[in-house]
Amino acid sequence: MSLRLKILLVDGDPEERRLIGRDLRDLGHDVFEAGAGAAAIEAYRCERPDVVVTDLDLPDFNGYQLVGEIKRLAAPSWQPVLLLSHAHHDDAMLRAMDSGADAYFDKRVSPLALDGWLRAMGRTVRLQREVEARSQDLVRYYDTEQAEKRLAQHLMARLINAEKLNDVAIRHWVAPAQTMSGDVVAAARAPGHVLHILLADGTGHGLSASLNVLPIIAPFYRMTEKGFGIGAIARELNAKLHEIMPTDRFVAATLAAIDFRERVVQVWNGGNPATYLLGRDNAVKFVFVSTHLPLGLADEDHFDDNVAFHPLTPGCQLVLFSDGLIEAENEAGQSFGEDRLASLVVGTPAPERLLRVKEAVADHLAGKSAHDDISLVLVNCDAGRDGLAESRSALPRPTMAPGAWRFSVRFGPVELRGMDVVPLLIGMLANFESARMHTGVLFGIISELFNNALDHGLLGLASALKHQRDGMDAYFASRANRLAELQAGSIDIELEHGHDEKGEHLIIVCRDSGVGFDYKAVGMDDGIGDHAFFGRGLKLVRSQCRSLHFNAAGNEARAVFAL
Amino acid sequence: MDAQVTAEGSRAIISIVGRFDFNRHREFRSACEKALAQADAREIEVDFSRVDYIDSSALGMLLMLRDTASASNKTVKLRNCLGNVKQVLDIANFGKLFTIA
Repeated sequence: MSLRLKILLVDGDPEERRLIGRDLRDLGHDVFEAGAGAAAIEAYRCERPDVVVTDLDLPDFNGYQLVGEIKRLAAPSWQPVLLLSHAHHDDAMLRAMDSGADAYFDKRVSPLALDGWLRAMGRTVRLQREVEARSQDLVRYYDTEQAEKRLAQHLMARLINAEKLNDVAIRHWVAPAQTMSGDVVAAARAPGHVLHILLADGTGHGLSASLNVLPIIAPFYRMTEKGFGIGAIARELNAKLHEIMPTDRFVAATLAAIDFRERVVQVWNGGNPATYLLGRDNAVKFVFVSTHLPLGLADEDHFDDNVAFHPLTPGCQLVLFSDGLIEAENEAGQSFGEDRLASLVVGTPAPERLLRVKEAVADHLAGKSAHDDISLVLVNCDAGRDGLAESRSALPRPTMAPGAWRFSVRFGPVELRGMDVVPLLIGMLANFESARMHTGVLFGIISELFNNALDHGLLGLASALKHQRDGMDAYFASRANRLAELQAGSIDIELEHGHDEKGEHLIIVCRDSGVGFDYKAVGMDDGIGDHAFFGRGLKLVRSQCRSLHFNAAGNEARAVFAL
Repeated sequence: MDAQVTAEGSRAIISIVGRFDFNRHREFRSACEKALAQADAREIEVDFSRVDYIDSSALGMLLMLRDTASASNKTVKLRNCLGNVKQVLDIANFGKLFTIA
């Protein structure tokens, strides 16, 4: 079955045009006629025929010119054109082909031969129509995809707080493999001088990879702001992804917490390459390998929120990266490799590390684009110390009359084991106008008093252990054991708003049911000597409060904080 | 070469050759269907001896296989995991989800 074609027939001679037109119509085609070149071009523009059949000698210009013009109009589509001539010469045939014609026939061509040629053209025209329809679909898909990418990019830009990533302590580099990155780097300061970093790498690349990562960004910021630890944050992010993402979608993630005051770094690594801690001497101090499943895979009962930790030494730097960095492949199929990266960061002073790695990756790829998103984050674990003392004078003072409020909460063994006590209290404090702007400092103070009561009062741990070489591990291990076995006891925390001649203040009382400690026996008269027993923490609390006192038994601390 | 499925007693073995990444999705899925269709196979083994690269999309495919297999009481084992493949599986801690040999 031959295809019914739309044919433009061009001939200056009305009688010949009529005869050929009749033949073409008899073959079952639709025919539009034009008597000259200019009219033919006009008709071509309007009708867009499948095939053009034209005489070589036209009143206005010759057939070769018409063929050229029509081919130009049709581009980039292919337009079959047949030239007819009275005088058949090989020279003319060659010139016709050179001008772009697809066939050159003698005008006395039999209707049968014409039909044969048109059938062959019909097949090609049909094929071209299918290809064009498909390529239009492709263009539509492409446009839709671009629009979706722009939407996702917009969402991502809004969700990620770039300003917080400009933290003095952080230098980072994210290079997406496509315009959309499945790698996300986020950072935020938690209350109490802790910096949280999130490096997340969603399954796959491009839009679908970033879709995986989007749901965890907002909870990361929200929970960091409230003072939750990275273990609790990882648990929440995992639950969120586990709930909403299909089975084959997950997010490799590293959460790091740098506690500038306690001088310790904590890392939860699920599915990302190792995070390195480098010392001032540019040597590797510790390697935080992936010990967990990526986020989104474990159900609530099997999720492991254990974090690894290591003490910070002066001048050290934390190095986090996604697998796209070490898997970046050059033309020869060689990956950049973790060994190359390790030797590069170890051999380079901290300030130059980011640049050197970027250069080395660019050299390695030599213009080829990486097949996966690349991200690298360097955190200077010293840099945050400058930001330690929050400028309280810069904060606006409340102008309204002070209210009066008080609340106290008791935590028993079950609550102490299962709850994040300090974020809970800070969350409550944040509801009070006068305390809201101080939650950062109050987080540190309450943490210190609470941990002191729990670790030393209830669990009976010796603080000195923590400060010994390798003591941190032993300290945290025995803390976890004793907490798990804790059968009795409680911690009461009272928070009371007051007002006196010195202004508004918050009274913080932290009382534990333990036996207390005999500070006279360790050589202190007011319970706040410079003895190592207290460590940095309580000294800092005292410096931040109007006053800090312990009761005689040593199991109740009372701090007064100016609001 | 496409993923092959062979039967060895109560095991169905899926063998993949070359890079195991997103581009193998269709092919791996049909191999999984074939392997799962072997009613007497209690265990499905994915053979990695000739795989030189595996990406996170492939890990996702393995998770899908694990899900559908466990729905019909079959277990999934990953065998002959070496070099790069072993490293990627280790980093993702897939040993917690699969038997890896």
